[in-house]
Amino acid sequence: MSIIQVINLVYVYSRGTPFQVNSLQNVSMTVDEGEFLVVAGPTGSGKSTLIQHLNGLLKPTAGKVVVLGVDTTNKKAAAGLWRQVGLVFQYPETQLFGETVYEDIAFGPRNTEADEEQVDRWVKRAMDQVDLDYHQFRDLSPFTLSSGQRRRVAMAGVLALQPRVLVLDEPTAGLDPVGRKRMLQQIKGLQREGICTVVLVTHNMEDAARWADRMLVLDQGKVLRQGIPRDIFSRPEELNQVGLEVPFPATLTRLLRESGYPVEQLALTIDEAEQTVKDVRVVMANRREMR
Amino acid sequence: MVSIRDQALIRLSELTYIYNQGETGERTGIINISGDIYRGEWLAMIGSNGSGKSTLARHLNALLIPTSGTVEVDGLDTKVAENLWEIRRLVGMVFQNPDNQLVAALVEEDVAFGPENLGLPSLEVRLRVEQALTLMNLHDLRLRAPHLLSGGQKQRMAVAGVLAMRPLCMVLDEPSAMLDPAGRKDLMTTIGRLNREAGITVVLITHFMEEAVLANRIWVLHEGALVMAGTPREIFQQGSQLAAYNLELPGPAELAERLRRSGIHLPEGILTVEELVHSICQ
Repeated sequence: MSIIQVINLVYVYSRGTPFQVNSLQNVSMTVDEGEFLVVAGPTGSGKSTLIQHLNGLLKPTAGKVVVLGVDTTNKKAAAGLWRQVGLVFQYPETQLFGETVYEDIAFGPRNTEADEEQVDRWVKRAMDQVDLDYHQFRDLSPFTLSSGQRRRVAMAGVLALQPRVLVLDEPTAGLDPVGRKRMLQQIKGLQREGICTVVLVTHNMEDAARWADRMLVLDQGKVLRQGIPRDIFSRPEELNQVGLEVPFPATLTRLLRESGYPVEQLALTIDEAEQTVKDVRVVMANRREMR
Repeated sequence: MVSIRDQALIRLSELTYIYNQGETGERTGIINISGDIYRGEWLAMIGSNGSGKSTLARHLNALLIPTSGTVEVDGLDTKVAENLWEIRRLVGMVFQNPDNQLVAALVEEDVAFGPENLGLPSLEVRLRVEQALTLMNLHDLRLRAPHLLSGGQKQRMAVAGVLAMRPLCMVLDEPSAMLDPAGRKDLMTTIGRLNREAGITVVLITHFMEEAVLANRIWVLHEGALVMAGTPREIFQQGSQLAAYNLELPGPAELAERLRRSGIHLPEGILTVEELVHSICQ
């Protein structure tokens, strides 16, 4: 069941000025309840513009965006959407301002009808969800934390409002390999445990291949492809043309096929690639025996 | 013949840097690092967040001055105040966020900003801008507004701006962290050209192992110390060591390692998917 519907969305920046730019042209897509959707596309393809429509931050120039049954152009009804669809921007840690981790995360909840006791519960749960120990971190200044920890504080600030959909724009940029993996595992955990639907914007195709249920690929403000990763990555030429890459296991599959080995399934992850190579070796051994 | 010792462009001797020394929030940034960065090489620095990479980078052009130990750039001690301007000219820096590095309304003006501030005759400035734009493949964009460029183009412009200063060395601190794959590839190609064709020494800080593979040498930093140094093939043969430093192997090297562990015979030092396929098919 879709939780967000985007129908023929057009968005034009600086309309009527010499700087007019058509950012999105006739984009139709859905976000399904409970899924992990990756939005990919080169710089300037309209990814950030699209996700800012998902909670009504931007309103369509033409077309329609319906979030949880609410048309985002309906001012009154859309006013509450910021709580339902949480947006984590790029480098969110630069937006921290609280004197303590607690104060920062509690800012959103305190702007609702919640009383202090509820706020406290929400903060606790959010910190738990991003793996920050409540007692260890609550009174620390965010500015004494590492970049990865600061980013998790920023995420907790969004999660504290218990959004139905969590939208993240390049949440792993600038993190080291282990930090990146940990961050994505956490996000996947939120989705897997049914805490929220996830929309993740990323350039990293290895991450997309590993974590996405479904992908949306944008190019020049239009939808290039929409589908499951295995289908998306089965046509690398198309992705290369728009400046995206395929994960290396997919390249491995292609190179093996080109060398004449029968590889049926496209490998997307390193686990699958390992199996592929082992299978190929069995086939090779059999061929040698037959000779 | 010149010995390796004579080829050092930047020499670090027992370099230690402590943030907020003697105050609250005192912490060690880097600790007792000694090593040479050679003339004309491409050195990649890898390490987890907080390992001291950026702190070390900021010593290479005297943005930071050692708490103890010394940094010498082309024989100039960074501690000596009179050397500061020459060191800053010799070693240029490019940072992560391209939007924080724009200074002018047109690409060519942005690139001209540095040389103009050296007080050079305008003909010389023009010549340098011309060359820098050509080498960075920005000639067609020279009359565009920098803020309207793509991230990758902005970073190439930042590199061109440093290049116009005629530096000996360029230090790039995670320059591709905010770029898309095409922008990254493009930037790496131009960095390679900078290194090979213009002979500029490159120090590249990165979290992308496949970028580190492109370098001549790699330094690994961990908790402020220099813990490994070697060629990409040497470094990426030590997967378990890297894992202990919160790093990982490039994907194809990781897969090769796994296959070896399950008893498949593969040569050491595989770094790319092409190398891997080649050895599987033998």
